[in-house]
Amino acid sequence: MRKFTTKFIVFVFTFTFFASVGVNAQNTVDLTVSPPTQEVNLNPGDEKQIQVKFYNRTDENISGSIKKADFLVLDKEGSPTLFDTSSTNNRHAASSWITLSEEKVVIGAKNQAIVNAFIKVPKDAYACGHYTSIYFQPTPVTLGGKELERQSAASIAFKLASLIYINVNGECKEKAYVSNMKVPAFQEYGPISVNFDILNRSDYHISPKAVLSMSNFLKKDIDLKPLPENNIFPDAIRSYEIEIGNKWMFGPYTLQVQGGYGKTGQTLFRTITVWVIPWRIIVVALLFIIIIWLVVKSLFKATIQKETHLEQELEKEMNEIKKLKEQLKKRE
Amino acid sequence: MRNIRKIALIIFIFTQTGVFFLSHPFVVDSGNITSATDTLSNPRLSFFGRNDGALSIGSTNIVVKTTTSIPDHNTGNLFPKDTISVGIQGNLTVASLSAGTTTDFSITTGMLVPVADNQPIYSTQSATHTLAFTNSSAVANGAIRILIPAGDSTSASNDGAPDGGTTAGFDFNGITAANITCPTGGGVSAWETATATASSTFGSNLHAFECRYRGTLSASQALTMTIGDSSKKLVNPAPKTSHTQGKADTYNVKIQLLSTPYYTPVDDVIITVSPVDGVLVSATVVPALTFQIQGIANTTGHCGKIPGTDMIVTTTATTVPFGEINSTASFYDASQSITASTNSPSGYTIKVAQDDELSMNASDYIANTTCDSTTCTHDTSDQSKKGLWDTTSTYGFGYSLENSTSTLDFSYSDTDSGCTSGGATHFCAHQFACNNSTNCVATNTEQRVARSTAPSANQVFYVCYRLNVGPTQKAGYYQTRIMYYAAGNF
Repeated sequence: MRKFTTKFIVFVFTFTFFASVGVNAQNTVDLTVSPPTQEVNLNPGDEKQIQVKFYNRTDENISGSIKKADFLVLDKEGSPTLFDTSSTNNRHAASSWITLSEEKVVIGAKNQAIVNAFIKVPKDAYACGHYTSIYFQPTPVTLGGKELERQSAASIAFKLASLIYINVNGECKEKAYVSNMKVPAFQEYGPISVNFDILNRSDYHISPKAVLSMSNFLKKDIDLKPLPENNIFPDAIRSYEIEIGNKWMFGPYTLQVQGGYGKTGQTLFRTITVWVIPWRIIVVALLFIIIIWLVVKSLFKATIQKETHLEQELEKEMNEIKKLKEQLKKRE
Repeated sequence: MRNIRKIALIIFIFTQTGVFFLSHPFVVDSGNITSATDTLSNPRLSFFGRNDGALSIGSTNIVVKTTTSIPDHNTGNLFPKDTISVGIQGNLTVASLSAGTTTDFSITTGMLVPVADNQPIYSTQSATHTLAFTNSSAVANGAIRILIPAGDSTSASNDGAPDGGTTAGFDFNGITAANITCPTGGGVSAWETATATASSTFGSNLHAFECRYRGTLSASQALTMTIGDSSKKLVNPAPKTSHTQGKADTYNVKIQLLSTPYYTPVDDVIITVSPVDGVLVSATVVPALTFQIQGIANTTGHCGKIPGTDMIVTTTATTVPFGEINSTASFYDASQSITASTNSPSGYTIKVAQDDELSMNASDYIANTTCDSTTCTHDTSDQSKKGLWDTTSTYGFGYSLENSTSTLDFSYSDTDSGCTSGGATHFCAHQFACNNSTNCVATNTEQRVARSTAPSANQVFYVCYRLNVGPTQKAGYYQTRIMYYAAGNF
């Protein structure tokens, strides 16, 4: 009887305690993933363990799923797009090679979850670049603290991903092109805004080390700008927009992209010519010179005419004086 | 005869004693030097190890021999950026120490010459010695002498290489009188040019540095003498054989006040200097991407909306509860803030999509807005696919963005392309992309809304959700899930 009473009191107390603790929706969800990207080099048949850490920066626990997804880069700015289900023709997929140490985690407040990912590269794996990710997605029920109430609402969730680049050693094609190089054919002033793409047709991602240089008609280098060292996904394009040169330029300028990429020293090369002529200033200067010339000419002409007129009048006067002198001599 | 012998003996002893005392007169007021210190400009021990295995041209990884008789038999006393020599090649810089071992380190540039196994690896630490002291005695025409311990009395103690192990001591390093600064003042007429004598010349395991003076040095004078200067310094010892890392090796330095005519010590003192291993302070900054969503109360307005009037929904980090829609054909606005930081050189990308339209069931849903123009879509990469959504007769669910410190793909106040006649009082909007092929009426991939192309700290932007329900919308609870995708850029 006494034991039963004790158990009953404990039960009632526990129930009352948990029932009284309200579960509030979090007002801040704040998570860090480390590293955001990592790269590993493996041979077919190799196994390797890597880690991804998710750190909960809030004062509340957060539970969620750890998942893997392949990704592609579909835009020209390197933004990854995750695919939970990879298409069968994605030769760069690698999510099926990965086994996660856990698929559900509760990350304590101000604490971290370390996820171990075991990579096992198949012996017949297609060599070169493979790209996958490991992400954390909060569990909707716990993320909101409770199920959505019976009301119209949007629940908010997120996937915070760590990208993994796996380079499988083997023979890989390396090919990349500079394409769509565009500049205005003619500009009044510098600097010149140069737009171009680098298309990566290699079997793995490349990070070209290249420069954009500018030379004048005397073949003298005027300016040189290094390109940002961006990764370019296989069969993807990366866009570049670079300003080069000064405001005051004159004549034809040759713009040249040159650099290297890949493991076998492949090169990138493309040139384009642009004319820069500050025509408005030139026209104003020419007009100014013409006006000055006309004014000078007019003044000169007026002075000469006046002098001629005076000379003529003087000559006339002298003739009259001469005549008067002769008349005077005759009277005498 | 015996008496004569006795007298002769007495005279001899007296004469000898007299000569001795006359030639070695007692000095008045002799005593100890006080307040003596030797301050080293750099107290770090030098490094003296040996390479384990031959090094070929281009090698950047070096392994240190672990033989305990070598002064440094691990990399505990070596630090990144230290300048070292390996065998005959000097001017190498330590790049990093291996985290996994205590014997491996790398250099910033490859070896230019091959180096055989077991060659000395030196990282020289040099220091000026500033000796401050107070003499007790007044001595005329005397000298101050400093004796600093050398490893031995051979030329090896004067070759510029650190001396450690059984012959640990300060290396003379070819120092000359020009590198010595004598004391000043003290009441003397003049301080003469200093002398510097290496142990190999001095004749014992001590290097001697002497400053003579003319006139009388007064008693109790605070004097300072400096050995070494910016061009040349003594080389600090490498660890002694019995060295324990983290614990200083001690060396006794002697300061003497000498008297004339034989420059014998009048005052002296022995002080201790203690070169010690450096302490490597290191920290690893891990690469990271941080993503934060915050709910915003309806007392705060964003996207040009007035709090409480336009902005009537309070959000949490995880819900946008539009609640009961009592008034059709009017906007229900809500907002959330999103913050991202990364130290990744390529920056980050944030994308968004919904996994279904705002739906009650498979067939009843609130359609995504097509804006006033009826042409706006989910596609944030195409500026012509955004549109103004200002009239309450345009129904649906959509969103816009307000920038704070981030780089957005569009903004509520845009005035270009699809939102030509927009501005701060307008709502330039997009649909959410719907990326769940099972639920969505039309499936699209998630759309980018914010990005950085470089490391960035706490970049903030606001997402403004807008719902406008038409009068014929079927009654019920409509729900969807908005999913944000945060990842580093490729």
